[in-house]
Amino acid sequence: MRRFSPLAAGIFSAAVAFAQPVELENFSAAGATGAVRPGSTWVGNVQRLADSILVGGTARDDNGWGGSSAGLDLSAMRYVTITGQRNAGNEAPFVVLELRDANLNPHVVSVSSSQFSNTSPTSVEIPLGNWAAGFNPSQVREWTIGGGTVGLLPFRMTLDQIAFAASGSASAPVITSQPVDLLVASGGGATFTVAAAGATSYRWFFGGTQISGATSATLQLSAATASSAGEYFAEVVNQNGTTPSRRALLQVVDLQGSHGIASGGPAGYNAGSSISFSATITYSGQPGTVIWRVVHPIDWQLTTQTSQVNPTSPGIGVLEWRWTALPASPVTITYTLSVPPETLGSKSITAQAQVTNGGLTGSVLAKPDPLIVSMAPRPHAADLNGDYRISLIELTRVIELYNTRNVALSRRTGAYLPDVSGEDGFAANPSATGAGKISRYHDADTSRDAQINLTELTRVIEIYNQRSGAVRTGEYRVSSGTEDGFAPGP
Amino acid sequence: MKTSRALPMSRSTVLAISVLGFALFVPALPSRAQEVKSRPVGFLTQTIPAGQTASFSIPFDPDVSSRPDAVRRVSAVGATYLDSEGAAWSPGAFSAPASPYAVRFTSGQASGRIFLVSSTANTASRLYLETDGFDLSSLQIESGATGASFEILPADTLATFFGANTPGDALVVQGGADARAADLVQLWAGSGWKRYYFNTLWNRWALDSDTEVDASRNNALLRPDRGIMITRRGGTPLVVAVVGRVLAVPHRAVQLGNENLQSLLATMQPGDTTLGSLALQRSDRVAGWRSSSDPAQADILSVWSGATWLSFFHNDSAGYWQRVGDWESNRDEFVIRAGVPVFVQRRASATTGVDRTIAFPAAIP
Repeated sequence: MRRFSPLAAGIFSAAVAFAQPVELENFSAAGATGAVRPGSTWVGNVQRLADSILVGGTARDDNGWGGSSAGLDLSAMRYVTITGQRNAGNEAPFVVLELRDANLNPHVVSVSSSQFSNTSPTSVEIPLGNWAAGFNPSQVREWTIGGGTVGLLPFRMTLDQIAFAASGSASAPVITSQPVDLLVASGGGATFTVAAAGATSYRWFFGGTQISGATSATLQLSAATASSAGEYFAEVVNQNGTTPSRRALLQVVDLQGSHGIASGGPAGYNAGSSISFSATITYSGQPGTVIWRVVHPIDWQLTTQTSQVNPTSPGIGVLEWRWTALPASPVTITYTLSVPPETLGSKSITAQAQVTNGGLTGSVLAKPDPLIVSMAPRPHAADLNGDYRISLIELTRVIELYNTRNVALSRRTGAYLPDVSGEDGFAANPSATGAGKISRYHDADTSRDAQINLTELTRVIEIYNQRSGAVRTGEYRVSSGTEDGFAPGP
Repeated sequence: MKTSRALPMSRSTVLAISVLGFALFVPALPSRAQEVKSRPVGFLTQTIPAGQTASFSIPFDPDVSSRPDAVRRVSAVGATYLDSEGAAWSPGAFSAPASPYAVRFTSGQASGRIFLVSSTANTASRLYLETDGFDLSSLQIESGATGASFEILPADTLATFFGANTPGDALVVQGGADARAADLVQLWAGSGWKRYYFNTLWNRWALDSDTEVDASRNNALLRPDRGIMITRRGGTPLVVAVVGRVLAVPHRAVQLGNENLQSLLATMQPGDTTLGSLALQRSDRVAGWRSSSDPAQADILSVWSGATWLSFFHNDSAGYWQRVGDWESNRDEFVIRAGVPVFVQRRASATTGVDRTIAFPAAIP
C-alpha cells in the first residue's frame, strides 16, 4: 500500500541529517511510533492492519492517534505527506496533524479529506507553512492526527504513512477548495475563490480568455451585468506545473425591489397606531423561488398584508414572503405594521429581493436602502391649539401633569394616563406609584414611563422659551433627530 | 443582526471578519479607542486556518450600554433581581433576547462577577438576572447608599457576533446547507457540545440537529464569561478580531456545578499568561481547589492546543503544575494565549458548594 519507499527512520534521534526526509509514522503493526490516544473516540475503533491502521466503528473526528519522540528536528522540513484512503462513511471534512514542541507549543496543518481517494491510498502533500509563533521545530516532542476538532463527525480513514520532506514533490498544486457556481442580481457583486496546496500564483479565465489583473486566489466582480454571465475558472500554478480548477457558472438575473410608505396614509408613523407599506419586486426569467424579506423594528408587528402568500418570521423583526408558484412580474404587495405607543425617533426598514435557481441564491437590496420612517408630522401633545407654539397656558398644563402626587406615598410622581376627555387627551394619575406602560404617551414623556420628570418638563420649558430676537415665541418644529421628535424654533 | 446594523462596532465591540475583509476594518479601530476615557482598550485577533478548530473567548468587556444609567449602584437585592433606585431604564430595554445584556459588578463582595439579564422585562429601576442557580440575596451583595457598583454591558448572540446574512449584517462565517458543509460554532452545554451553524437554505442559525420547522437559533447567547469553539470549514482562514475594555477588576467566573462537571471559562486575560500565573490553586483565587499528586484526585484545567486538549493539574507535593500523563515536568510556564478559554473540572469533594466562583488574575496589575 505504500506510495513512497520507506524513508529514513530515526524519529527518536535529534541527529537526523539535515534536509533528509523524515518518516514520522508508518502505522505498521510492528513499527508504529504512535498509538491510540487514551480518552479519544478512537479507542476500540482502530483496526491494525499489516502496515496501516483502519479507523472505523464509532470513531469521531477528534485526533485519536498520536505519539511522542525525544526531540525530533523538523526545522529544515517544508512539507508533510500523509498517505491514506478515505473510507465509506467518512464525514470528517479535514485531516489535521498537530505537532508540539517541548514546551507544548503547537503547530497545526490540515488538508481536506476529499484529497484522499476513496478507492485506493493517496499521498497528499501539505506545505508546513510558517512555523507557528513560539513553536520550536527543532524540538518536536509530540504529535497527533485525526479530524482536528472536538469529536463530532464519523472519521473513516485508512492511514498508511506520515513523512516530512524539505522540498515538495515534483507535482503541480493540489486544489483543496474549488470555485462554486453563483447566482447574482444584475449590478451585484460576485466572488469566486479557489484554494490550493503548493500554489505560487493564480490566474483566472472567463469564457476561455484570461482576465487581466486577476492573479490572486479570489476573483471579485464588482457589478455583474448580463455580459458577465458564463463560466469562470482558475489556473493554479507552481514551478512543477499548472492545475485548472473546475468551471464555475455565474448566472446573472434582472432583479429589483423597491418599497415605501403606502400612499393615502400619513407620511410617517403615529406611535400607538399602525402604518402601511407597499413593495414592488421585478424579476426576469423563471427562477425557482422569489423571496421578499423585510427587516423592521423588532417591536413592530404585522397586522395585515395583501399577498396571497402568507409571510413567515424567520427571526425577530424579520418578515419573509416566499413564492414558489411564481406570480407575474412585477409583484406588488402591501402590508401594515402596528407601531408600539412608546416608539420615538426615526426607524429604518430594510428589504431584500431574492431569487433562487437550482440551489443557487441571488439577492438585491430594495431601494431605498434603508427606508427611513419618521414620526408623522403633527403638533406636540402640549400644543393644545396646534399652532406649533407652546404658550404659557400650554406649558402650565404640562407642569400640572408634572406635579401629580400620590397621596399615599406623600410624594410627587408626575404620573398621567390617556384620557380622551382631557383637554390634551391626558389626565393626572394620582393613584400610580411609579413607572408604567400605557396605550399612548405624552410627547413630553421621552422616557415612555407614564411619568413626567423634571428633565422632561425642562425640555418643554426649553421649547416654551424659544425666542425670536427679544420676543419669546415658543415656536417649535417637527424634527426626527431629537429626543422627543421636535426642535425649538421655526 | 439588527443591532450590529444600527450600531456598527458599538454593541459587542466585536468584529468577526473574513480574512479578505480584514484590512478594510482595521482603520476604523483607532476611532474606537478614542472613545474610551477611563480604562485601557485592548485589541486582539485570532486566526483560524481553513480546516482547523480553535477555542475562543473575548478577554475584554465591551463598552457599557449606550442606554441611560448603565453604570449604577445596587439599592436592593432580591433572589432574582437587583434594584437601583433612581435609575431611569426603559422598561424591557435590557430584556430582549435578540439584544441581550449582562451585569458586571465592579465593587464589593461580588466584584468581578457577571450575570446575564434575564428575559423577564426590566422596569425603570429593577433588573432581573439569570442567577446561575444562586439566590442573589445570599451573595452578600452590598445595597443601599454604599451599594455595590455595577455596569450594564451588551452581550452577543450568534446573529449579533457572526452576522445573520441580512442586509447590512453580513455573515462572516461560511454557511452551508447542512452542518457538514458550514463553519461550526460550538457552545459547551455542561456535558456536551451544542453545535451551531448558519443554514443557507433557511437563512438563519441552526443547531446541527435542527429541521426546518425548528425555531431560529439567531438569538443563541454567547455568554461573555464563557469560551466557544469555532471550526473553520471555509477555504480561507477566518480572522476574528475583538476590541474592548480591559477589565478594571479581576474577573470571577462561575463554574457550572460541583459534580465533576466541566466549565469552559473565559479567563479575561488581555495578554498571554501561564499556568503558574493563573495559580488557581491559591485560596484567594478558588475556594478549595484540589491539588494532588494523583491527577485522578486533582482538579483539572484543560487547554485546546490546536487539534487536541492538553490537561493539567496542580501537584501539591511537587509544588507546581503538571500535565496529566507527563508527571516529570514543571508546567508552571505553560503559556495560555490571550483569548484562549480554559476547561475547569472540579472534583466533587473539593468544592464548597456555596461559592462556585473562580477568580482570575487582575488584567491590570
